[in-house]
Amino acid sequence: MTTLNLQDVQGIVFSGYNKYMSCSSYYLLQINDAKKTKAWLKNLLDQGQITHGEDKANDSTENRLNLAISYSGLEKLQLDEASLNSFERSYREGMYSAHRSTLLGDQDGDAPEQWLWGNKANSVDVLVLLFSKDASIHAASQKQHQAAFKKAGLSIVWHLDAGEKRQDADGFAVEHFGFADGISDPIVEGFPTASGAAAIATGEFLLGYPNQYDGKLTQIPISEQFGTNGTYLVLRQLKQDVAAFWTFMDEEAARQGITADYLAAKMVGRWQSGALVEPNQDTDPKTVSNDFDFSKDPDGKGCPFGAHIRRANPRAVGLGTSDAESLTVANRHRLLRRGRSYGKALENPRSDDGQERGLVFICLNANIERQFEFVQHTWINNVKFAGLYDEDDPLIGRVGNFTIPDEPLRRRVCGFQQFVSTQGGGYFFLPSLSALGILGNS
Amino acid sequence: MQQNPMTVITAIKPNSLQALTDYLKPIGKDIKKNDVIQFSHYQQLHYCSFFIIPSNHPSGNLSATPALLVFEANIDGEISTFINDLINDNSVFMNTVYSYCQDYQDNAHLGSYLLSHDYGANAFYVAHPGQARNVIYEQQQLRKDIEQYVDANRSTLLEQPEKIRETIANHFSSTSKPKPQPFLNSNGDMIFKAILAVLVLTLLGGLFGFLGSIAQIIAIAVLVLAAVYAIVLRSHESSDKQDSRPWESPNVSAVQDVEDRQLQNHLTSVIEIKSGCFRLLTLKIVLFGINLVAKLVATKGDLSGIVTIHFARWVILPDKKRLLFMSNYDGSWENYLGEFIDHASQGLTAVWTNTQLGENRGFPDTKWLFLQGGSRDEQRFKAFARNSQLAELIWYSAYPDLSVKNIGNNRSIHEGLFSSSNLAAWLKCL
Repeated sequence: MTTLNLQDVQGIVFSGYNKYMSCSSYYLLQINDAKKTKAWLKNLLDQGQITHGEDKANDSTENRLNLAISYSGLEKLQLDEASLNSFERSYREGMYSAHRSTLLGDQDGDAPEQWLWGNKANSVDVLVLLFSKDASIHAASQKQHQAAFKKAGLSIVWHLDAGEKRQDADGFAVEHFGFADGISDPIVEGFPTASGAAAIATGEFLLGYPNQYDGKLTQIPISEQFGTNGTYLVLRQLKQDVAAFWTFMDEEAARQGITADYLAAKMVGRWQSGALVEPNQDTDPKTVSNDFDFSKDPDGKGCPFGAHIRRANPRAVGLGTSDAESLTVANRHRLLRRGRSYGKALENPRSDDGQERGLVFICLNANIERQFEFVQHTWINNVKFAGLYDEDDPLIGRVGNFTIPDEPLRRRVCGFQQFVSTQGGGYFFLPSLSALGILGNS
Repeated sequence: MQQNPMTVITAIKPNSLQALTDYLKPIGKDIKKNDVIQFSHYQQLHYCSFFIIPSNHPSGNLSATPALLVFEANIDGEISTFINDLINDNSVFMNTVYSYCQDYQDNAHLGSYLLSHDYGANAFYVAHPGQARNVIYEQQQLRKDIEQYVDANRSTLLEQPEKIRETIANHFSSTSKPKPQPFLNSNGDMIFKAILAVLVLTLLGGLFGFLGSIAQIIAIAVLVLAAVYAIVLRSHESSDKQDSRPWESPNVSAVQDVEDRQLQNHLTSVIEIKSGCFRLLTLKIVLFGINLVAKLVATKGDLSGIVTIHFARWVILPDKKRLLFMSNYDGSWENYLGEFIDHASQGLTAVWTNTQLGENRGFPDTKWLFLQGGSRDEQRFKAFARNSQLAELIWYSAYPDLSVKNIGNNRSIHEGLFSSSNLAAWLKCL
């Protein structure tokens, strides 16, 4: 059993603060004066403003703050070359680099040149995640921190406010298309929230601990003292076109003689309630569970192979010669999701109001290349996923076809549209509190 | 038709390295539209690549040897036919390339020159043995036609579910029957098991004297030899040093630049064989075993659980000091290396545990050749593999939009059109 020094790990690793913090903002900052930034960093630590794992929220908690740094940020904070080179390659190159964007499918309209932030022209050094209990506390906190950024030699490249929280009857967050989200986060060994047997090794989400490969330690940048208890944070601003999504579902469903809800559920892999789509189901059973591994649906007659949630985590089918082997492989590519929706909910999901809304996708992983990039490239964006021919992820992919396995003949959606586009993104390092101390004092 | 590996390895003339690189690189950058050579003209060609092995790769230990040009091709039928087709069809390209190489004479001798420098492969894997390039093309077209037909007629077909195949088969009645698969595709597995059984029985029978005294002596000698081998192996393994430097080859950026430009990738790895005849001998035995498995067992698009390799080969370089590995695979490098670790740790460890990036920079620590350690050390193994890689100058795939699984599925669709059994399984393929 892994015992963690919770005080050294930033709190966002253990929780998205959804329960007590109804507001959040994401500040993407550029360092203009490293000396001032270091002093600001030291001050945040000294005042205990950076939330760690031991600092548990309750009804009276007002704020939470976490902080991550991009590769260019570390360069500006004057780390030496050997230290900089000890970080993994994807992080050093950055999400906007040519090779990474090819891997991630950020092409054409999603290409980094089109982004609002995180590309070469609007590069980001520091990410500050602010959370508050309610709107008035949040407004005060934002004002105070924005002033502090100015004094710290930090300019705001971009900032995103999470929208009003939408929750369903089961307490799950509801994303803009109307689906319950965040149901299947992995249970991690040694985390205070961990319970149950199906735990993923700590080293998949925190550096310095055994990972899913024979208990090997995931490589640590710089030194044990600096790297342990840190991890990598991936952030993407994903704009959702809700009206286009539901209008397409209406039109295509009418053409196929099925319902829009059924078609959308097949594409997502879950019904709007979050219930898994199972074989021989026509409507939402509204019984949400994450206790499945697709072994009862080996042919995709319930949840199609190409469905979003089956791509994001294929579980026990298709990655090996047995269910157990497949599950072992799947569990070497897990992500810990910590994002929220941004923008206001669209009142009539069939009619666009011209406002931007979407998902602040945030995930944590100990190895960006083996986890986030792998999931994005080999599963989500892979047109050959699970033996398919020319299909992209129907929910967050770009354009392609979609096969719905059925008996005796499959159904096919020929040419779905793009409903989600990338507006910005970056790879960050989420340091431990001791590493932040080292940076602040350097 | 049988698929064959051509591996032409020639020494590059001193001072010609840059000129040769400058000639090949632009072709590789525009493989489809360049006006020098169109590889798609050669109907027997599945994949080919040109790359250079620098004299100092992977370490400076071999700096006295010249840089080598490798021309790899995976083809249907005879290698000599392919070489003649190339020279007859595009003598300018072929002669220009090889005029940069040592011992090249002229166009008249080029064919024999190439044949005499073809090193084939010590072990060769083909995902779908017998599947000629043109058959792969035809079956993909057939699948597309059937897909379109089903899309357009789905509701009509569903009116008589038990007659779906019949209706489709009638519509495509002009399609010719698929050729039967090679004998070994369906029987190799059994032959492999029979060989193993005979070996074990002979050894046991000999040992207990059932097969006469000479057989008994031989059996005992084999066992003693195996024990001695195990002792020597362990002594090597305990003194070998794994690469523990956080080090990235300067080639990695160049390799990454030519990767992931399409759905498939090519991997070229050149690595030093650990010095001494023990490692070379071990490597040769392991490669013989892998070749046997590839010919007899792994004939259905699945090499020990890896379902993304179209063609792969291992070649011990003529100097016997380096091992060349080439593979044409689906998906990303990260996925490919992951599949290796997830499914084929034993086989790949047995091969590469005999190799090193340089003095005291060996493969990750291994115990008992393949049983423990080795590639199971994920990060160290990936770094080792990455640092052994070279970027190719030219790489051609005849069907960049087809995965190994697609090709297998297309064949099942074609075969199922002429079969009357297992209707449900066939419908799943559509």
